[in-house]
Formats: sequence, C-alpha cells, structure tokens
Amino acid sequence: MFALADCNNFFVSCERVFRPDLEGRPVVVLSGNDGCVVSRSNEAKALGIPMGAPLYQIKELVDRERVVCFSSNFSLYGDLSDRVMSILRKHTSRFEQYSIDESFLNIDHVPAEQQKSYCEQLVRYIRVGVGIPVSIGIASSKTLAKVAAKYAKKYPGYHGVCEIRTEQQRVKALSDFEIGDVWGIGRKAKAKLTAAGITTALQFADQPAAFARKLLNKPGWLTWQELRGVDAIDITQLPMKQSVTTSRTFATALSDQSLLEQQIANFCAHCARQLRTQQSVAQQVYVYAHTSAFRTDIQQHYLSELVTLPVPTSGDRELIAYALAAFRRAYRPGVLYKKAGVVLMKIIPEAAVVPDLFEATDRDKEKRLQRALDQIDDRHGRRAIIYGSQLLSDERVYKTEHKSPLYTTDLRDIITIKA
Amino acid sequence: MAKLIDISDSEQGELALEFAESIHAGFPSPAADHAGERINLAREMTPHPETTFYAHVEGDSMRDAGILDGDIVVVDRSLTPKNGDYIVAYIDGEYTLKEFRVDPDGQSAWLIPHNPDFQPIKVTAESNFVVWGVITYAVHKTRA
Repeated sequence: MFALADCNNFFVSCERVFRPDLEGRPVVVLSGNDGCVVSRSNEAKALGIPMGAPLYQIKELVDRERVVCFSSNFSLYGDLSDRVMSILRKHTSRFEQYSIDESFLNIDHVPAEQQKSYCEQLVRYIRVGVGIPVSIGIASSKTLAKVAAKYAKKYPGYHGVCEIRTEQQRVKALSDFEIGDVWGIGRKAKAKLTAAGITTALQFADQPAAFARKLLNKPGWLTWQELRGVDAIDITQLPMKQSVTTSRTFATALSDQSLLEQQIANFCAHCARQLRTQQSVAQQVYVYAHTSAFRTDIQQHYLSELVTLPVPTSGDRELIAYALAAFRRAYRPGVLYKKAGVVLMKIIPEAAVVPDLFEATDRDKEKRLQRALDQIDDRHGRRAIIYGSQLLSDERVYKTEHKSPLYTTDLRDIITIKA
Repeated sequence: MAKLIDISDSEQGELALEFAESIHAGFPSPAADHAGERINLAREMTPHPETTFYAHVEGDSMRDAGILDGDIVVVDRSLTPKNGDYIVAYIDGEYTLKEFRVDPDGQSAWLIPHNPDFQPIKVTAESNFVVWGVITYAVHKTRA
C-alpha cells in the first residue's frame, strides 16, 4: 500500500506555527513579488479567494474581511518542510519526497489493519511536534492515495487519514471525485474527457483501456490503471545527478555587487542548462561566495544562502531571480570575494512535478520561451542571449513587504517569550 | 589550502567536496584511527531536532528557577507537559514562560511564576490558551 502525506495549506500553516492567534482567521501567503495568492487558509478559501489571485484584484475583500497577508518566507517553509519530511522518513519503510509539502510513503512494515491508526499517530505527532497539519491517504496506487488524501483533508471526521482499501471504498470515493482533480489530469485532458461526457473519476476508470490510451496517450493510460488500483507510476524513475555545481575562483577578488551578481546569474544559467539536458528540475538553490583564506590582512566572510523553491524548476529566469535574491540577503559591501558558486540541489525528474499548481506563472509559456532561448544559444554558440540580471532591482526580484521573521533559521529572529 | 566550512548539516554534506581543493599526501596521522567525534552540545540538547525550537526570554518572573532575562531556551514541542514542567504557553496573544500545574480535580491549570513579585495565572476552559512547547534547557551567557 502507498500512503500520500500532504501538508494542509502548507505555507499558511507554517506562518500559523508561530502565530497561534491566526488559527480560525483568514490568512493568505503571496508569491515572490507579493503579487499573487499561493496559499490560503480554509477561512480564506471560504471567502472565495481563488488560488493565484493577484493581490490587487482581491484588495477590497482583504481589507473588508481583515484577511492576514504574508509575503513568502521560503527559509521558514523550507525548514519546516525538512522537519515534517524527516519525521515521515524516520517512520516509514520507503520514502519519496514529491514536493515541498508532499511525499509518498511505504508503510508495509505495519500490518494492514494497523496502517490507518499508525498514520493517525504520525499526523498527531507532526501536528503537535512541528505544528503543521498533515493529511494522509492510503491506497494501492499513488493516484488513489492522492484521492484518499483529498478526502482526509476535506472531512475533519477522518482525523487526517483516509483509506481506499476495499472495492466498495474505491467506487464510492471515485464516484464523488471530479475528473479534473485527479492527479495527472491537466486542463487539456480534462477538456477532452468533459467533451466525451466524462466528469467523475469513476466514469473514467470504468472506460475500456483502449479508450484511455487513445484519448490521452500513455500518461492518461497510466492514470487510468492507477484509478483501478494498479501501481503504474514510478516517480523515482532513472537515477540522476543529485546536484549540479558551477563555481569560479576570480583572478582578482571582487567586491562590486553588480559584478558579483552577473557572475552568480551566469553560474545559475550554466547549472540550469545542465538540468534541462537531463529533463530534471531543482528544488533548492544554494549560493555561496567567500574571501581568500590566504588573505589574513582583509576582512574574512563566508557567504552562503540556501533557498527552497516554491515550485521545482529548471528555468533560467526563476532560478536566477531566487539565486540573486539569496545573494543580496547575505552580501556584505566592501568584502573582497575570491570565489563564488551556485549549486542546484534536490534534483527530481521534471515529470514528477505537479502541473498547474500555481496558475500565476504560465509554466508552458515559460518552457517554450526557455526552449527558444536554448535554441538560439545553440545556433550562435553559448550565451547569445542572456538575462539582464544586473539590471533587476532588488524590489523587482523579491518584494516582501509582509514577510514574517526567520523563526527557525536566524537566531536573531527566534520568538520572544515573556517570563 | 582549502577553506573550512561547517558541514555539521548532513543535508549539505555533499558540498564539502567542493572545498577540498588540495589534499597533500604526507605521512598519515597516527591519530586518524582513533578519532572520536567532537562533542556537539547542540545535538546533545536536541534529541528531537524536528520538534525543537529556540526562544528568547524577556522578563524576570522565572528568576528563582534560574531562567533569566536575556536567556535562550530550548523548546521541545513533542513533549506532553507534566506537572512541574516549565512551558511556553500562548495566552491572550502573547507567549509566556511559566511552570505548569494542573489542579488535582483536573478542572483548571495554573501558570506559576518563580518570583514573589509575580502572581500565578489561572487557566480555565474560557482562557484563550495553548501549550506551545515544553522547555528542556535554558542557556545563560556568563560573559558580557
């Protein structure tokens, strides 16, 4: 059996860990530029705030209903994600992290009849210990486990864990499940299925195999099998490089911020290109720069920043933006940096990324743009077209008016308690 | 010569190789086989790293219990508070550090200060109150 563990409204839940007063209140987290809603509390959902809504469009509602808005605080989300994932990893026989807030678990070391209560215990431990609410779905395929997790999340009566174990449970769960909400069914597939008169997951699963294969090709066929309880999707796939690094030692140490930024942007683009050639995406970006250890006469500094990305990517534009924002947070003027580098980490296959999670960014369009740029580079030799990264102001890369403190990654930002 | 970095975070362990720019092949150290791992106090103090958080202390109400203004405390959220534990509670919009006591009848709980200048706080079902975590260590700096 598979279990899918999914953190509920993850970014909002992270903010609430350190703000217990926000329980029961509408809360949203905004994307990198404070542009769009990327996470909503249940209360915010109930107000009708859609995922991906630009802040300016919902401004009136936010003011009237006193919706609490946060800028993205990825250091916090990354750390709390690591804590949740570490607990899950320690308590399962096999663990595959799928995104910042989701992972697939294998719990076959627990007898079948105890798996549900075992997962309930995990949910309780994470809720109390880390402060993050988690839902777990249990089923014989990953796609069904995701269906079960949605039920677990939707109905409090499940206490965070829902099983699809019997045929009866499967039929009942799928008959109430909208086809567009099925993992792997994107907008296009949904449109095709709707046109064919199929609106629920059960209707799709009840079609003959040839129908699924013909209408939606192999991915749709795999989903069809999974909905019938067959384990057909392997998200681990091929082994691939765990990280990609580009770094340089400068002939003359650099202190000029814009020169260093150009270097960082270049390193990032170089790494990203490698990712794209192996059809993979990174979940984390690590940026570092340091002074020469030989120069005892100058101020020493070791700059290092780790960023967890909201959506794994291999796109130059996003990676450069995050790498530069990270660099700016740690850069010290006047320091002579001798070496710098960028490491893209937690690499996973591109195919394992959930599509359409944040509608705000048109990922297909981004991908087409990236492909076009890569082709131009190929024709004219490397780096015929580059991003004008050194021209981006801090504001444009990372506007964070409502950012919460770095509660867990900066000692200066830990909570204060009155004694 | 390679630049030293702290790789105590195993997640970033792979990065260490990046900095091993030159390793000189000289006479091997006779101590290499006997190398023990250096004491890591932070690790000793956090048996449950996933559920451990840190907090600054502000105020004197726990003075006689040895928790002073300016201290840093280690908070483990996974522990269930017992009578006599020092806890971080979130009450009426504020974090507070006190000793935790439950009345024998189980009807109300008390947050007890360790300083005669402060009064115990009674917690009832009506209070807006959560136990945020249990204090396991207080770190006090002795040199300015």
